[in-house]
Amino acid sequence: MFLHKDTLATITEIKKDFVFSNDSLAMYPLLNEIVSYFKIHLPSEQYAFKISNCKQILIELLTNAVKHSNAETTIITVVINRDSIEITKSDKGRKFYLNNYTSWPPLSWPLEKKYVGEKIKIYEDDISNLYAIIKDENCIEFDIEEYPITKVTSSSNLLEHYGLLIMAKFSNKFSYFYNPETNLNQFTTVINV
Amino acid sequence: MIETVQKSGYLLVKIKIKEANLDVSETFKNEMFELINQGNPKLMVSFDEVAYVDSSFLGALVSVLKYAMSKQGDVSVVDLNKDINNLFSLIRMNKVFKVYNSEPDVFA
Repeated sequence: MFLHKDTLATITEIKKDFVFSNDSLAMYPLLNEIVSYFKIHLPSEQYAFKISNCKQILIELLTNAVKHSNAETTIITVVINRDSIEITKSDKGRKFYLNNYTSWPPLSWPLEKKYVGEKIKIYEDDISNLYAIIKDENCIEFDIEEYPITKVTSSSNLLEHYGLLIMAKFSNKFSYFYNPETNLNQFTTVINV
Repeated sequence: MIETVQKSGYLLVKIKIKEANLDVSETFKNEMFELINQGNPKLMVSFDEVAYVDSSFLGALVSVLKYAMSKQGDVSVVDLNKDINNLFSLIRMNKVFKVYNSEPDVFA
């Protein structure tokens, strides 16, 4: 529950949209703006660690927008409520894709209903696997499987793509949704507080 | 974008930029590969001036580690701020790279 300074009324949810120009030079100012917004609404020191996690998620969402979205603008929506912080990245650019993915189940939008519940393997290395679980025809949820890390040597297989893995690891729930009617792509991360 | 200081048994590499992100990751990787090729496979990277690290830069750092190891070297990191330290811990990069709080005299 929050006491909002403008309305002087108690509200249970605060929501704000931030516009990103998909220019890497605009990343840092926007990152600082959104982090300040978190600090204003969650000022207590007990949230510092959660805000640090949100910051890293934002870095990855913005990096992802610059690298992959192929859209002119991205909207970052922040929702703070009693139990969680939700950060959503929306654009009308390229649908979620994986370079060189030819495995089973196939990844093309909309996904086939018969594959609901199946796992698409996104990355695999010696320390973790990253999957996309098909939730319905237009939604996948990311999931990590981790292995113990023994000695890292020159023959260790280590991946070099960490964006999705970081977002999955730093949030309690990380999903992608495609809306075929509006052509909107949304990555949503939920961080429990 | 980097500055180097010869230490006993390793080369200290200071990153001279605030935003360690996709704009600089490729340059960083190339400059680090060059240092390794010049006979410096043992490198310690200082993040003292870095505000944040994104996945592209982290990917480049892992690529440098693999290359250094293939030349019997190693890459460690030092002077991580709280957020970067949090990043390394959460995705267990602190088990892949040796993480130091301050520059040691000798590369362990």
